[in-house]
Amino acid sequence: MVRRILRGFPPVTAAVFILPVVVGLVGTWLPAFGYLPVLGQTSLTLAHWQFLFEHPSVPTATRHTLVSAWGSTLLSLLLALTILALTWRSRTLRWLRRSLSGLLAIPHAAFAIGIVALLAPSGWIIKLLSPDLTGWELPPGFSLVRDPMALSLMAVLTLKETPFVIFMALAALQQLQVEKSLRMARSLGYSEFMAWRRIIIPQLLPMLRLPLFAVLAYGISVVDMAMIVGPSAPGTLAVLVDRWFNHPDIFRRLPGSAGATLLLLITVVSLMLWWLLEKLWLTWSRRAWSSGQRHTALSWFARPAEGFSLLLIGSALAAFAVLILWSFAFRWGFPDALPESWSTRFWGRGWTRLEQPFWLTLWTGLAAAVIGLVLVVGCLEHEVTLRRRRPGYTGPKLFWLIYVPLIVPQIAFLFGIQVVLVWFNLDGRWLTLLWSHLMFVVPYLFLSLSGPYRSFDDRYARQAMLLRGNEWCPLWRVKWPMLLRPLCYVTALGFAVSLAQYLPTQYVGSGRFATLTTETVSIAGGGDRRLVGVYALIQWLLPMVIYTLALLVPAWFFRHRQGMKLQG
Amino acid sequence: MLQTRIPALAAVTFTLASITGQVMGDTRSWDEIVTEARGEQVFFNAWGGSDVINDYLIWAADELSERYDIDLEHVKVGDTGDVVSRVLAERAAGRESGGSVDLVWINGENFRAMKDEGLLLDPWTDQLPNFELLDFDNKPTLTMDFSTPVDNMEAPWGMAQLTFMYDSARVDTPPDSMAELLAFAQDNPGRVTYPALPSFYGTTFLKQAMLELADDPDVFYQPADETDTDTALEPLWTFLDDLHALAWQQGRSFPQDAPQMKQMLNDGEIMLSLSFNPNDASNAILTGELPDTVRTYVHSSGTLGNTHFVAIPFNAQAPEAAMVVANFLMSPEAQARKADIEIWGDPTVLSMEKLSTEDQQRFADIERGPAGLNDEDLEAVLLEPHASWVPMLEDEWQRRYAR
Amino acid sequence: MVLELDRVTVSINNTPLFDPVTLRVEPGQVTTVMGPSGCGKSTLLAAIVGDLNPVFSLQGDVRLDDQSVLTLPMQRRRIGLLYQDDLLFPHMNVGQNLGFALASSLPRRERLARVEEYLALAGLEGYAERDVASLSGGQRARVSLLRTLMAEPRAVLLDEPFSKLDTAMRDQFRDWVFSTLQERAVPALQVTHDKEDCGDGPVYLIQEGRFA
Repeated sequence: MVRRILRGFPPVTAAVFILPVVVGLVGTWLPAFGYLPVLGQTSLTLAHWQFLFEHPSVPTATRHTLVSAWGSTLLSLLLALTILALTWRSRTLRWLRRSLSGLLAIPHAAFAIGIVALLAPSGWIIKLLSPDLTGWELPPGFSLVRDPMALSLMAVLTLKETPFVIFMALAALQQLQVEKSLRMARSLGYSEFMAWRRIIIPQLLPMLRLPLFAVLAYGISVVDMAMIVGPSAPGTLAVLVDRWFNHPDIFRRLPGSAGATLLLLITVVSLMLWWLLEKLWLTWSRRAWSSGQRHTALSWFARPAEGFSLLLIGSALAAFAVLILWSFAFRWGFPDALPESWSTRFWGRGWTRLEQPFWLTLWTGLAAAVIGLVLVVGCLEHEVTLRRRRPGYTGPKLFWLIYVPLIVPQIAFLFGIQVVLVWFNLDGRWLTLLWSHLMFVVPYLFLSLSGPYRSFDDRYARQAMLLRGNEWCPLWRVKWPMLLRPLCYVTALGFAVSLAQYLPTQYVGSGRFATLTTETVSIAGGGDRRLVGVYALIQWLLPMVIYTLALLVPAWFFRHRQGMKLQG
Repeated sequence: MLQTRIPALAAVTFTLASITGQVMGDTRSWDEIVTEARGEQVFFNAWGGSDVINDYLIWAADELSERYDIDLEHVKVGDTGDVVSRVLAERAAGRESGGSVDLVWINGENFRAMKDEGLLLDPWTDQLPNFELLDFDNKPTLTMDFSTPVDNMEAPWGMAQLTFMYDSARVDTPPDSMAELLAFAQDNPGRVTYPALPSFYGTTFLKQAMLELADDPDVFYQPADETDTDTALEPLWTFLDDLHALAWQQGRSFPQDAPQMKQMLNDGEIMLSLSFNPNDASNAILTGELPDTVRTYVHSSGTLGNTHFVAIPFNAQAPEAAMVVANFLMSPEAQARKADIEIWGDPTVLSMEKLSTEDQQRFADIERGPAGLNDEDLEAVLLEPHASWVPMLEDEWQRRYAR
Repeated sequence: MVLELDRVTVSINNTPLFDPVTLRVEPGQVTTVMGPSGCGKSTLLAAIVGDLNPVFSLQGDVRLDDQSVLTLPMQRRRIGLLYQDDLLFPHMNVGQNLGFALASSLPRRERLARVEEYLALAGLEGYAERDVASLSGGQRARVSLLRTLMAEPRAVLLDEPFSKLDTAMRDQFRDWVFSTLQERAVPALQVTHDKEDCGDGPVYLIQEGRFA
């Protein structure tokens, strides 16, 4: 019975998530070549590609995209590895690990808004230093954000992605016998740092490939963050394409589709290049392994590593603090370190406006998280039964498909999906919106739940089955309660993923649905900063509350159970 | 010369439109329309980026529900272009009625796109009782929306005029023309900028400069392909090249939008900001967004002005209710409230002369804000150039400065 | 209840791990199969309860009171299995762990009475509310056997149940296990690599695949 139900999960999950991507991609490719019957365009042509390649902004926009996406992926990997290698076993890593879920829950948009409020020429940092230290009575002429090289976008993406990379690396490291390798390396006379570089990282990198693909693809296609901290003239390619998709001249959707397809090509080539670089590095490092070098000057990194962790947490805290200040400010001019006068009216006004989006966000997020959880647990449990029934079964072969929505740039298929949905009169409905969120919630849930779920000692479940002579009871009363902590945690993560969705909400929701994220992004560029502060804080606090609940609920349930205490 | 010719032309179109309206028209009386509108829901797709506007619409929704039993839903739109493509997609999908948009806040390019594509309801605005109160005599833009004849297919809602702001605590005399602006930038390097195109505000700034700097601005009222655009635009690009060298971030970065410039003005990051609403600065002073030393000004040779409207798509679910909403938005009461700088501060489309004494008093009671301008200051209005210049400006600007 | 193994062997890739086993366990009797680690004795137990890794296959027949159990799915064979790890559920207290083995239809009062009754068998009266993590190793082992017995299995299999206990406690616990099983007249089959763990019952040896 259970087996029969479980058998349905992988195909349903895959179909529900892969099919739309395929449909969406085709729905984007056809317009790129001139076929868009909605606009009466039915003849195939390369004119839109020509438009794209002749457009003056495209080369620079592409450069911005490459700089920010590649730069942030490389930097966040480097930062994550440095922090892990150099703070391993230290107290720093323990508190970083504890704050990790908090960092992961921060919505991209709110974080970017906070960083801008910190680093802008008239941001808090310069206000704090002026005029005493800088002598500036007016904001300086240079700008650390929205710079024309896209470096600030790269930096903010790095800050936001590093916790994710650390999180995924920690999960992967659990499967590697880090302590053993380190002991062995030490006995051979290698420094700790070299042991990481030569032994652990080469094993870790292939395991991080998928998360890093997601980071790279996200960087290439991100729109909301790029609009907030990215360069303006021109923006990144994704911003340019998004603008064409929403251009008053409706025929811009055709070159827009070509641009979206170009983004897809850039992603595919980037991922292949990444894979190649990884292989090259591994080969090189294997060769270097036999060189016998046991120490490296790079060890001086050890100190900055603590600084790096501090930077991750500190930037989030500072961004949070400046948003709080703005949300309670009335007048705040330059160069006052603190607002001149205060007011709570913006919270009142912000809440009036955000009340509906708040509830919509809450219900959509919870629904997406819970449905996603059911699907993912179903797939993983199915895997367990297969493992126990099929000789030599090592894991699902086609399951990497579930990660497709994370790796294909959103903008490369969302327009196509929108076209198809409109065609079937399914756009702008809550259920389609929910489903579009699920497309992204499920892969993240899978990514984060598969570790703990697969490493569960299934003898408990089998013992329960022998004791109870029943198939459901072991799951409901033993396995899932014992996994309550990771289950709650990934539900909160799923909620945060749903909350952060900007493009799917815009495209699939046909602009009908206002969520905390769409509202925040829509006023982020130029809205009243005090209100932007309120919006960003509400967007920030909601997932925090859900995360806190996800930590507290199991803690409360197991308050008398020593054996269920969190390790580490 | 222009100012006299255009209204005449507009009047002709207006008459034509009202005739066609009557021919094709709806024979129902207004009362019948109001009755049919009862209990309906109106999805009003309107830009949601401004808090004062959103608040104003919350008030309007309350009033409409009480008076007409109409449920007004403000669908907050980031970009009206979205709405146009949605309606277009609906038509392509064969949705001839029951569309998702009942009323849309619109003007300019988007209006032209919808009108050209036949996405709008047949002429209807002359059926509205408050249509009689509109100030056609002094406001040519009521019938000519960015060089596209309105033809009674959109109902005027409010007026806009390009105005500039400065902080009198930091600046003594603001520039009075584009030429003076350049000189001002020389004295205050890095403190002048304008929003990046394709932002509407950026395009307007360019159009203003284009009209001011040209020897013969008349060419800009003809389709762009009928003139030698290179020669016509040369003064503009020379001006921008010079300006960018002195501008904020040396012209390598631009603000996204006018509201962002308002913040930068507050911080002193820049010295001049711009807006489409002459009361914007006063309103911002009241809400603490700008210091109370901020003042507004216009160039004495006039600045661009236009009107914003509401329109009903051809496939609206509740067109009658949408008409009632449009009529309510044009009513003296709603217009006076909208003009109040403590509420929104958007200038009215009504003619004071046509109002009852009581209604005239409503407007007279509105306090002019600390940074407001007199009616005389705002009299010199430049009409929007022919729409074909806009894509030309955008593309060329992008080619020159956004690469 | 009598447990019978009739020419049972476990093979991998059609290669048997040991000669076919034929044996008969009387109620209350503890029969021991002894062999070195890796000889396939744990696999044999897994095969009997129906929890065999799919790379292995089982030949022969397993009968309880002359009825073959091999056609039944794992959860309906009603055979208890004790591992060297006690596998007490960490999220339940002692009473809940024991009560888990009872049918959910049982009224609460009766359920508590049964739990107390069983705890008394191990001298653990009043322990129902205790967190399992607070028990000593010996206590945990006893609760684990009680839990298995609570499900009223038709037979009990013991997979090196004493190997993780320290020597002092080990003898005491072993005696208690054997006497409890005898008292309840349940047939029990034990596998171990340690001679000391054999009780008074019959002992079979697996050596280099040979069965003696």
